[in-house]
Amino acid sequence: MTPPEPSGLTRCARPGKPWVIMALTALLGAWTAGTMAQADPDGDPWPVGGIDPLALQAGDATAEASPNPLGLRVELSQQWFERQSPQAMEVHDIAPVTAIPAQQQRLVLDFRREWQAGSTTRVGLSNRAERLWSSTGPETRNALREAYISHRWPGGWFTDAGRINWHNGVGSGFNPTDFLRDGAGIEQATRDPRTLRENRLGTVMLRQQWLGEAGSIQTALIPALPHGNDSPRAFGWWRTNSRDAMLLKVAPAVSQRTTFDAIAYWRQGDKPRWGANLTYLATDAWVLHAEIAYAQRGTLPGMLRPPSWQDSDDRHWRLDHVLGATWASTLGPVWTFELQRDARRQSRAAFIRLAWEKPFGLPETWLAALLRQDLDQAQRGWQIKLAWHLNGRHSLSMLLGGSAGSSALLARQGSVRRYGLLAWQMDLQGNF
Amino acid sequence: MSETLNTPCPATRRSPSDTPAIRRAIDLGLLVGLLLMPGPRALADEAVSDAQAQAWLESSDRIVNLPGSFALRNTLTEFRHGRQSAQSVLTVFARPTPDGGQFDNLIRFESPARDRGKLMLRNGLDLWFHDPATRASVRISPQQRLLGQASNGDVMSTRLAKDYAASFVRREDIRDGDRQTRATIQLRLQARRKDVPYPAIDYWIDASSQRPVRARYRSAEGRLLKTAYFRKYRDVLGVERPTETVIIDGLNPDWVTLMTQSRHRLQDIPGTWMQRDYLPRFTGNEPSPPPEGGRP
Repeated sequence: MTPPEPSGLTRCARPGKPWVIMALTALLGAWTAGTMAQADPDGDPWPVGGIDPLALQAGDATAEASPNPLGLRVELSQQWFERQSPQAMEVHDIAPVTAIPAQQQRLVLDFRREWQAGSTTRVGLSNRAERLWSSTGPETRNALREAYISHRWPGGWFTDAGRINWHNGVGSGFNPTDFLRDGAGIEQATRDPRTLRENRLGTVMLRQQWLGEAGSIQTALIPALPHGNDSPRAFGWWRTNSRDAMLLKVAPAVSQRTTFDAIAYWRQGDKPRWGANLTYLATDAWVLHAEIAYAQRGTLPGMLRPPSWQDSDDRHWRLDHVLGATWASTLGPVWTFELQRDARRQSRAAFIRLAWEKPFGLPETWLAALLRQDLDQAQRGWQIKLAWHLNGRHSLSMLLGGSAGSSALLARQGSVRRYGLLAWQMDLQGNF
Repeated sequence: MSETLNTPCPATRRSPSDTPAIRRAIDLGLLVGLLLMPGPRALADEAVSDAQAQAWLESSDRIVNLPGSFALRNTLTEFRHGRQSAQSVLTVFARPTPDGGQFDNLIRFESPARDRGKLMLRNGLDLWFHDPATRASVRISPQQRLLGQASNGDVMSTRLAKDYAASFVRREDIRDGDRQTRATIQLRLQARRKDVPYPAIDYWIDASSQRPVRARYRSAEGRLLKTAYFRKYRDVLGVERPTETVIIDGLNPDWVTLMTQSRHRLQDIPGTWMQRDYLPRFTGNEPSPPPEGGRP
């Protein structure tokens, strides 16, 4: 039986049917192809804004290494700050404070350099010269941070002699095992503990080191040099070498995740001081650290002792420590958190540091911030620094900082409540 | 009723010649559609063992890395929106680990001037940063970036075959870093441990020479972190090796880094260079003659 014919009107409205089907099929195939191509989520998304990343070429001045640097950094800065009034120092430590605004201009010539003297000997020099202008008049300062000679012997032995800024500790805001720090500080327009460690007087010593696959051992003999005066341009031998001392540091190779070192320090007239440092890589982003020091309270310099100090405190042993962690975010900022306990000063604090290269995607910038909250004396200190690298040698930075809360010790020392600083730095190069 | 209605349309004639015509039309249309599709896809069911894929990866590693201890210069040029925004020059010293599986790396910053002399050390999981200005060494985590877009792992010498397990995905033609079509093998690399920089990598190598062509680095969730093209193959110590890598950010394709390698040389690297306590003493000028016979 012949099936019924479809209606003539419908049938006759489809002229050239095979060609229509062919065209529709071709279009369907093309659409499918295009859809498949777009459906690949990882298809090259460029060019973006007309820029093909594969067409980019490095500049012709493809940086050759910088010529041999002179080692000199020039810094100009303008600082504004507020100080407590002198009268407040004699009043009860919670008396109202009168702020006195002040300014200071500073020119710094910071020199660091090593020279090769033969194939196995090096000579190093590090010096910081400053000229300051303030309402009290101009002042010139000089700090010879380091001056040493270093020799390498066969078998992984090294000998260093001279003034060396040897600092120890894995903490970021407090280093109880940094036994050579007392008396070495230099006044600076910053409260960053790392910067303060960088710019301080070295200790005159004769140091011997062995370095091998099993780790490292260092021993330093520190002679007493009770010479000099309080002039800001003096070498300050008496500040760093007031008594004979010896320091021993052992750093065995433990594992890839863990590092450990132990430190012992003997100074004439004091009981020995013991310290240890530990770091542990917990994850791809977390590094844990711990630093402890065990010493008698009497080893604390007099000017740092709290007002509550009693004579019997000299003989008490105390454990200073820092427990901390550093987290590197995938977005770039690096955070450091610490709990600090300075048992000799009977002080506890919480510390946070932020370091961020190119914050928020800003090219050639660097952001650093820190906050230290004293947990016993309700006193807080903070600082924010933003630096722009104008080019490879020039940088401009802005720094803001301050402190809040009351502290009898700080009032006695004449603390600064708030400060701001604008600084320009330049690194000089040249063949010398 | 119109003449159209009264006149049977040719398409409705159930004559034997009509049906094949329709079929031919459909076949021709499908053929046109197939021709418009992108390059031929590989047969997904091509059987390639993981061992073979791993062997290909090892061949690729031998092309990228020099044998034994070596040093080279690495220039990182960063682009934003097509404009050069920063440039750094590094010297990389690489030394095989005692088991020969991986490399320990010591990187010295040469440029810009403010960074000159800074050091970065990697002994497996042990990473340290040393600033000669502070004469202090700080331990850093693998995720911490010191080189902008290029991660620490990007600039350091590494053997992928030791850190990743490779499996075959497909053969396909892709455009390489010079925008030339190249027959490649796509491998899927899975991290053997959690502490490697990238949990997974899609890795394309040349089908005949195993030269690396392209890589897509992914997070544990599969998110694209960056894409890299390996190009500018040059004769380096007798082997054609890539001397430039184009790194394109996965989230922001506007952010591109060119990593150019030069001054390759075999060099005996003492083991003491790879220790954190040696960092304050490192100058890079210590006497270190090239290995005898060109191989350490």
